[in-house]
Amino acid sequence: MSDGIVFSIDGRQISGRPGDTVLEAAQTAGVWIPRLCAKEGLSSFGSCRVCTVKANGRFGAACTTPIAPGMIVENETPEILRLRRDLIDMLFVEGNHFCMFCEKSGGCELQALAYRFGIAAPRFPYQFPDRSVDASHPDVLLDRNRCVLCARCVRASREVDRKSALGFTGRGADKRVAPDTAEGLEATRIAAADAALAACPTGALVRKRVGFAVPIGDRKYDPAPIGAAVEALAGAGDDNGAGSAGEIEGR
Amino acid sequence: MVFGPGRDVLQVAREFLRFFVDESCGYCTPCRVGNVLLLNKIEEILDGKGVEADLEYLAELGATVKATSRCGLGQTSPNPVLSTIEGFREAYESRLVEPAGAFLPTFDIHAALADASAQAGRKSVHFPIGGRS
Repeated sequence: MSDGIVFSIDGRQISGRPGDTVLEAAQTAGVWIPRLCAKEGLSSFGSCRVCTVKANGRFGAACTTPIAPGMIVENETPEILRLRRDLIDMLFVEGNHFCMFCEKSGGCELQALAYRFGIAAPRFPYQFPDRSVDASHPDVLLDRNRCVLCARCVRASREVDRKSALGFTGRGADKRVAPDTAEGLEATRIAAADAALAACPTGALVRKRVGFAVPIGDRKYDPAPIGAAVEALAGAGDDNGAGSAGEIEGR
Repeated sequence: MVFGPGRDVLQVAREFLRFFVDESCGYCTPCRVGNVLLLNKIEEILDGKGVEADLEYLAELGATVKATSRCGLGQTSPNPVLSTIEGFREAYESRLVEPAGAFLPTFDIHAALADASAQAGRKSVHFPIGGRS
């Protein structure tokens, strides 16, 4: 603690290690900041913006903002919660997310965030984009309809699997995840056990034939909402059933 | 920025947004999605399908894109919309319409039912063509 960097989140004093981002330091202290593209073990990316906070009066992504002594961070203010809700809404309408038919339902971070933010239906109009599925690989399915373009699979494949099997094509609203060859997923070195698959927050990149191995009701976010495991670290009273530290979101 | 009195500020805002939608790299959510949503709404208003609540929608959505975008493009792309609403609100208001009946002007119940009507070979009982909308 003595050589830590002391800053505050919503008025609470927090000590973090030098080099930590706001999101990392908050997580260690048991303060949950919602996020999609940030994942422990992967490089910071800052693309989904769901972790937007106000640091010293400026908006920024908590996952790319380093902590500084005396920094004043706003996390759960009505203003910031509204921004995050808008961003989650945008991700829903931008893709084709049919939770009720999706094999990832209950284990999906996008769905879990929507539940936690009380989003029953998005306020923005659905875009119904034309997005393709790559089912060429014998063990891996890429369904771009469910993709939120967080690049977690792209980074995991490059940084953990050392395969760089995935990347992006296109720009703007036409941006898509794509295998690194024109011949499709089958022609890449991706495998079902790759970190790239485990990294996907939604059902966009999944193993084939195990979609319902874990029954609905027993899935990751069925017993407790997303973020509860992190908040349990702070020792708050009403987090029973939140799971162990090993099940913290993003690990 | 100066425009002649013959210019329509909504068309100016639409052209700016088309530019920003084209230029967005797609890296971050608010710019990639938000600019498309802003453009869609401006086009609806230009199309005579805007309602009063749309002005607040544009202001809130624009504020979200500005506050949360990763780079200067998204942090400034809503400005043409926000500044024209602020400075030329009457240009927007003159185009707004009152919702006729139970539906928003962006929704055409007869167009929505056309395929089903053709397949069933009969008109909707609740929404016969030319009936209440």
